[in-house]
Amino acid sequence: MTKLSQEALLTDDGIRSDGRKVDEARPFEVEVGVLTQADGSALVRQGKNVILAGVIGPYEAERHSQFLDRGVLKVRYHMQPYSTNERKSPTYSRREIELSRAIREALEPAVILTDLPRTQIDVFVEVLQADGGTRCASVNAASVALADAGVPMKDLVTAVAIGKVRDTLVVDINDLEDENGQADFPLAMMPNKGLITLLQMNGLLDEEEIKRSVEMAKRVISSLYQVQVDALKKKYTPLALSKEGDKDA
Amino acid sequence: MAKLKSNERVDGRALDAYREISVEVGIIPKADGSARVTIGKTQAVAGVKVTTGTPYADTPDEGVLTVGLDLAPFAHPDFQPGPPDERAIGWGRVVDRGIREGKAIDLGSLVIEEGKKVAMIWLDLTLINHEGNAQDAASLAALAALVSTRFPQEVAEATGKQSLELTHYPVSVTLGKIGDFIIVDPSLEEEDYVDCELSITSLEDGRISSMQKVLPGPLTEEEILKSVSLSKAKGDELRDFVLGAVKRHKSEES
Repeated sequence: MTKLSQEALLTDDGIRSDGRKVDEARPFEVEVGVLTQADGSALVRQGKNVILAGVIGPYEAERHSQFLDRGVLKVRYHMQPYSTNERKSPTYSRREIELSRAIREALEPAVILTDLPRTQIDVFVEVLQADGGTRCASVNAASVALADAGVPMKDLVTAVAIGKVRDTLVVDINDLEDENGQADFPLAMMPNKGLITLLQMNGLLDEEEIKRSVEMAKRVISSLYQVQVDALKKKYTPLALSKEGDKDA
Repeated sequence: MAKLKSNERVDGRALDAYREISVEVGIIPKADGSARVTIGKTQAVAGVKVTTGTPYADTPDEGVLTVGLDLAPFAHPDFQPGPPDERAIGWGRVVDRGIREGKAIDLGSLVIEEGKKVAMIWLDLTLINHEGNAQDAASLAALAALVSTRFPQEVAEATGKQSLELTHYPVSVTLGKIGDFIIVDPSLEEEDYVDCELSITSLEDGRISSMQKVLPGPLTEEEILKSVSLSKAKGDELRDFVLGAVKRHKSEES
């Protein structure tokens, strides 16, 4: 693939390659409980990312891997070979191992593992289509899937990647901006706690840009968070209401 | 914790103090560049080999940089022989990104014949003794080895250059959060107590080329910004120290 110029990524009028403004996030959709065999699941579409998270557990962990005072959270991030422009080799990559860890550590502070001694929770993330910021979209899907599985949590976790194109900070970067841009700065937060649980950065940013990026991420995260909450409510509110209804009848 | 409040750590260091650092350059004569760095009792070795080869199809106008990190099985009782685990992969990738994203090596200058032949830089890191903060030991060893890399004859003739010239000097500074405190250069003992670690790679011009948070403890915005600023100040000290050591080595050589 040929390198895109910075001018192609951001016009003089401040329009990005996909028509967005610099502070405009991509369309974000969340569907809850899309699978029947998993204990919790979510399908997230963030831009052209299509990401499915399935949660198995909590279940009693194998003896050798159980802890008496807490549960264990495991995460496997996996990209399907057809998810990218060039076919991704099905061999599990170093990048996937790294991202699995980053996603696990992003989610772990939100999960009340001390309420789940001796158990294990498996989070499986399948990237069906990748479009930049997949680790963030994976966090967004996985935290909703954990909530759907009924796992006790302090907060949801919501993530977005800030990037830099043509020396300008932009929110929620897509594939082209990730590959051709000047920085990729993914952040995840527990929005209600105001705490940052995932932080990575590749590229070149100065101190001031880092500060501004965190501010921009916070704004986007609060709007993405609302979509996650609404999706959970959409599934669970009718159930709660119908139960009330049954009682009345 | 009580000690931290009075700005003192278990081993008596101030919160922002590194352990003693040493840098030895050129320890592996068969490598084209090499270094051993110690931070306290943590030890990392870096070796650079330079060869020629075919560039990647998607970057015909760039040389190739490959970074690997290996944990010697004797470096810590938890380390096992075999393929790298998530920790080793993480440490290696942070070193790689600090260099690559920082554009420390001008890959364009390594082209011999576009699309056909380029110089390839193989940077291999070995953690030989893990007593905490493997990340920074690996990063400093990488910098010292790259700065002291001389091209083998075949590469020198093909490129017309005698040595690898760095355009930037990336240095990783790892900070640990313990409760409300931020410490630099966590020792192995402290790593048992940190809520999380943040490794920030800065360049000599003050820009940041890589950041990586590991371990689940969350951070506030304020803690991140404080860490960025601290990493720049500490990074400047470490960079001067390493580059000074390499310079002394080079003048002894000549």
